[in-house]
Amino acid sequence: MFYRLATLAACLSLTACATSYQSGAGSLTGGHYERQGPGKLELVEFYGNGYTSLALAEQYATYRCAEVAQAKGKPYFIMYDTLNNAARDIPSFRPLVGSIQNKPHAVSFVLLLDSPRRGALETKNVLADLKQVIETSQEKKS
Amino acid sequence: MRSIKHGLRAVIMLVPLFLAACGTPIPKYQPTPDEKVTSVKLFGWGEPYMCRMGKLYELTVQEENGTRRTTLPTGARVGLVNFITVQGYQVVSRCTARASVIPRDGINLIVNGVLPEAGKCGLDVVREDASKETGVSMEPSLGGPAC
Repeated sequence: MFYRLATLAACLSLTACATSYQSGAGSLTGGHYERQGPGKLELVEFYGNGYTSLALAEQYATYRCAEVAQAKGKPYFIMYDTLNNAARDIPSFRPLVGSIQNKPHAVSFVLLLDSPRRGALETKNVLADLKQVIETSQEKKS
Repeated sequence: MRSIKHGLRAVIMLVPLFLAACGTPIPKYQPTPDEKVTSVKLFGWGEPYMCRMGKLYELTVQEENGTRRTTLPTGARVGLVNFITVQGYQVVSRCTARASVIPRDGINLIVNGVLPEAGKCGLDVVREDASKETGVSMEPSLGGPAC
């Protein structure tokens, strides 16, 4: 019984250690960062710790892109996974995701738009689609 | 036996001296007063170096309002080398990305050090172009390593 409880506690503590959806500023476990530029783009990144999956980092970064668009009153946005693809205007529907030393990161160059065009995502749809993922993250954090 | 011990000690003491002598510092690129240069904004990861006429130079990076900038000489092809070092707990990952461009007068460049993935890393080089919706356009002179 003791070992079962210990294993359960260990599993819970490991799950709790995954980076939650949060600002990376001042955080030891990572989070999202954004800045203006290059060009007319916004750079959005998410860094997770070793307990965060690549898929989760991708979802968090995508959600943050939508939040940045919403904050600037833009109903649509386009994601580019690399700067070269932004220069060629080749949109991506997901950030560039990878990992360094087993820690995931996701990065996207975002173009904010007033009206839809090829490759654009609708801000409110992305926020609604990923709301559940973010809420689960916040619940785990609290 | 004692002389062997002394000899070994001497060798151990000399090794760091030899290693230090081999590590020639990489010179910093300093444009001459009459040399034309262009501004380069740096994004992403890594420390930028330039390779010109077979010689590697460290580029001086200045930070202004959160944006890192450096300069490159214009008119001839230069190699760009980006060294990325990521330090983790008891692990250090290193990665080097290389490309080359011909910087032009009045055309500002943007260089983005792409994060390493599976031991590889990349280097995006584009032009600042206010006429484009994204504010960036392809750099036509972008090529492979040139050093």
